[in-house]
Amino acid sequence: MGVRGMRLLKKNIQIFCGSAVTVLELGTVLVLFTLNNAQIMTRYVDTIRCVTKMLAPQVAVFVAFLFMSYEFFFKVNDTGAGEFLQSLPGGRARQLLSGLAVMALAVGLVFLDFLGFGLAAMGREGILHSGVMARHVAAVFFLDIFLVGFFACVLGCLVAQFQRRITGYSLLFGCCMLFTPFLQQILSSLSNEKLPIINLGDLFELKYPLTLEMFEPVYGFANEPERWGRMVFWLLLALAALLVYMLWRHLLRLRWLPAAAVCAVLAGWGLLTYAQGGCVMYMGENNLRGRDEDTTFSGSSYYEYNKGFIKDEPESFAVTDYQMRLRLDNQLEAEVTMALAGTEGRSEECYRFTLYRGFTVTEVRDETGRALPFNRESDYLDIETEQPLSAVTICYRGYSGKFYSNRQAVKLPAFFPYYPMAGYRPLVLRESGMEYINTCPEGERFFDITIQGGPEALYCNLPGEDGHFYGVAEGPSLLGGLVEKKEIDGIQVVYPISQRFLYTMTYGYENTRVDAQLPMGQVRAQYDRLCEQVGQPPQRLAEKTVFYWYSSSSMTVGNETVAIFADHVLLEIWSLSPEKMAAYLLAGELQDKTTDDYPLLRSTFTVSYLSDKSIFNRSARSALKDIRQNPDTISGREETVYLYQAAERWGDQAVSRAVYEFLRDRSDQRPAAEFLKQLVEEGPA
Amino acid sequence: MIEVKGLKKRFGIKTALDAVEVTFDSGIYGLLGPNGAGKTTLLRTLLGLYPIQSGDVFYDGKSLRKSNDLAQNAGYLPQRFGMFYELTVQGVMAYIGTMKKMPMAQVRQETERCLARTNLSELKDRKVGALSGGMLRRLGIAQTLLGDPDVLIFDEPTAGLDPEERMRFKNIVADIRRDHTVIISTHIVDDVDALCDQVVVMMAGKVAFTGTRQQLKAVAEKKVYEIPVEKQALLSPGAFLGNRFEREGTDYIRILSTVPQPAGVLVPPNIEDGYLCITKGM
Repeated sequence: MGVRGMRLLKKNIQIFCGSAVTVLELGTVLVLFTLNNAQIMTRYVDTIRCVTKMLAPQVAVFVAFLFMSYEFFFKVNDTGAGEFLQSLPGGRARQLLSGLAVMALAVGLVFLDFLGFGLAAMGREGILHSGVMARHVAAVFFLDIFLVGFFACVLGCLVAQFQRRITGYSLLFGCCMLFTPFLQQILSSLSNEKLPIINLGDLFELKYPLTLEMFEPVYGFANEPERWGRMVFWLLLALAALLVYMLWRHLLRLRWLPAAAVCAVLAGWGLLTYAQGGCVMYMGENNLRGRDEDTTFSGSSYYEYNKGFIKDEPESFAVTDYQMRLRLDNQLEAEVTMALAGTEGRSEECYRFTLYRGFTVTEVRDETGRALPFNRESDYLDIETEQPLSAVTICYRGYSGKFYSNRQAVKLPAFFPYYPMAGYRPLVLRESGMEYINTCPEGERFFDITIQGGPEALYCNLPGEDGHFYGVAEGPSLLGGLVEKKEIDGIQVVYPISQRFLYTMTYGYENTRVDAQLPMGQVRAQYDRLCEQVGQPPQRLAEKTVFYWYSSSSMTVGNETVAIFADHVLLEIWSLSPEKMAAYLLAGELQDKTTDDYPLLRSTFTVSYLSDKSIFNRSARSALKDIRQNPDTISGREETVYLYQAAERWGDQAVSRAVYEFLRDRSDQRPAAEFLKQLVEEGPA
Repeated sequence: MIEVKGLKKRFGIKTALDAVEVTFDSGIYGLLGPNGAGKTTLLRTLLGLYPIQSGDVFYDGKSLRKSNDLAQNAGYLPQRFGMFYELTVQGVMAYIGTMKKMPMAQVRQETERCLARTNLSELKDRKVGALSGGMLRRLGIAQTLLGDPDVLIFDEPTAGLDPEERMRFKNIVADIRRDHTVIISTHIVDDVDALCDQVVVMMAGKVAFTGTRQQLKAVAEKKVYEIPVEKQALLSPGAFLGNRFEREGTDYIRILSTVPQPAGVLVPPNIEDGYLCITKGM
């Protein structure tokens, strides 16, 4: 923009600021959003919640700037300046561009307001140092505030080209109907499986799709290529339509035609990007979307209604070596070459693997590169070959709704078959069909993983950096996005940047604020104490990398809130006292008995009994008091009551060791209630 | 020099310009014609507001199909001139100067000169929204003069101006007639009579007359009569009734007639008579 451009911009700023209507509109928007953002800062501590809440009235940005822009650009009609401007060579175009620049500045003010509060939230949370988080927050506000607002400005400008106000206001109303949630809500109410018209509304859904209750600290905010593609499509389409309309009315000269064509072509590119879809975090109005997926926030599961697809049939061969080339873009694309052991002289022509059903297998090749036929059904893959295989390469792409993998964030735990695993293995508990379990075959194997794309901060339990990780492990866990890695008391910890401060809820006590960056030395000490109490040698925590991935939903880490491997630990945890953390780690050792009432006993024993004895005792005594008055009230509290009684009678350490041993012993299939009753009556064996 | 050759323009089925051939050189040209004659369409086409559909226009030998030199070297006052209410008079001149790609120093100098010529210097800090219709029109005239363009095009320039302002406008135009091409589209024949060297009369999209004022007057030679109003009944058929006026206590009516009117007195024609003869096909 040259000197003349700046002069013209100044004049248009004068025009904007000289009009009571536009000034009042912009002033109202700024004041209201500032007040709203400020009150949000007083209510929420962490950045993720603050920003999610700030984005809630995003639709108001669209509507406000739509009308503001219309009033501003309609001045050309109101004042009769149109014909005169048109007579000046390039006059109309320059006025248009300058006007759009003024509106962009106005939207920019609002954007800066939001960004300022977002950065302030980061500062208050003590994470202002994080460039990753700052860039993410800026990108989110740029997409959901600036681009949405600017799109509204371009729309308002386009509508203002019509000479009559009645036409203009009708079109503005139509724009509000199309681009605010109104359309999606109507389509959603009319939509069903046979008539999925809600899908038509997806293209118009500019609104930020998540609510305060649904957030993933690792993932952050929905900022996927799909959303950017949709926004780019509409913005450039509106610009192209504006240019074409003005060309058609001879308000612009023909030399603007190439610009209109470029806008149209780029809009097409945006549409293609949107249409590719992929792994997104979505909780919008379209309830048909992701219906068959297990999403991060879904309470139901595909497996609840498809129990037949929970298989457990091991294979005679094993995978000893993985060469994984992963590409993280709008979804995961993978080429995995596996070295197989135990296939010499194999007569079966079918090699069975487990690979999550969300991944579409595109190609299977043998060690010579020859394509092999394969069959895919749910989470299982059958590869057919007449010759024994010593190695096989599987190419696939896709995503899981619950364990996401895209350019923005990655949450792929080792226990989840995002990479092929030998045999038919169950992904979830058969009884409920809901809780994920450790699908990983036993034993360790070599992994060499190369990752292209993906988030800036991406960590793996295997050694390596810059997207290349390799080493021996039971399985590779990948965590990337809004995370940091730090050594705390000698232990490598990977944790979400935000959500540093959590409010813990401990029964009977008020919420207290704790720092999620726990002193790991205390955790280790507690953990060692608990191991001694239950009579087990402690796992060496210092040799494991600890991955925290806080989530607002449960069931993303095994069937408990912890999954333990030889070289790393996956923790999903809310309350973070060292005692609780240590208890969860111990609970992770006891994953063998996963049926019936064993999980409840495990949870009561580790998280309640071992971690906070005083609260446990108080709870148990209260339960006993209730039971004496009404024996029926024992239901659901047997574990607590019997544990308490056993400890009172036989001593804390003896009972602890007995219960721990029972939970580890797969051969002891007594129901938990029966075991506890016997423990109370007869004591430890 | 502006040469219009065989210019045609249609709006849907309506022909607005029908093979217009006219040349504008240095001097002041009056463009006369009834409503819908095509005057404004012609001016807008010259300035590039409408694309040339058929025929061509040449400015200093260059076709306007390939360049917009005329628009770049012209000052234009449209029939309806408006500006953003929030800008001051001085701000408008600066805005338009910027649009005309004039350096800031020149803009300041020219603003002072043009506002002085149109008697708006004292109102330079007043906002456009606070100007009367006449003041706004003067502002329109002032911006037309900005940058001293070679070609000045006025569409109904004196509409809304009081007699003093009309006289001022005429003086402005008279001052710049040398080395400039001035085209004034107007209904007010008196303005044409006072200012214009050449007159172009348009009717139904065609050029019906091109020539000097004297030539226009000569069209009505021996066709103009004055007759007392009470003798109106004695008029032979074919007479067109013109203005009524009073002289020495008697009401007269001026008539145009190609047929001799013995009841009237033959008088010398004026420009209006010549214009009416053309528009009535006499």
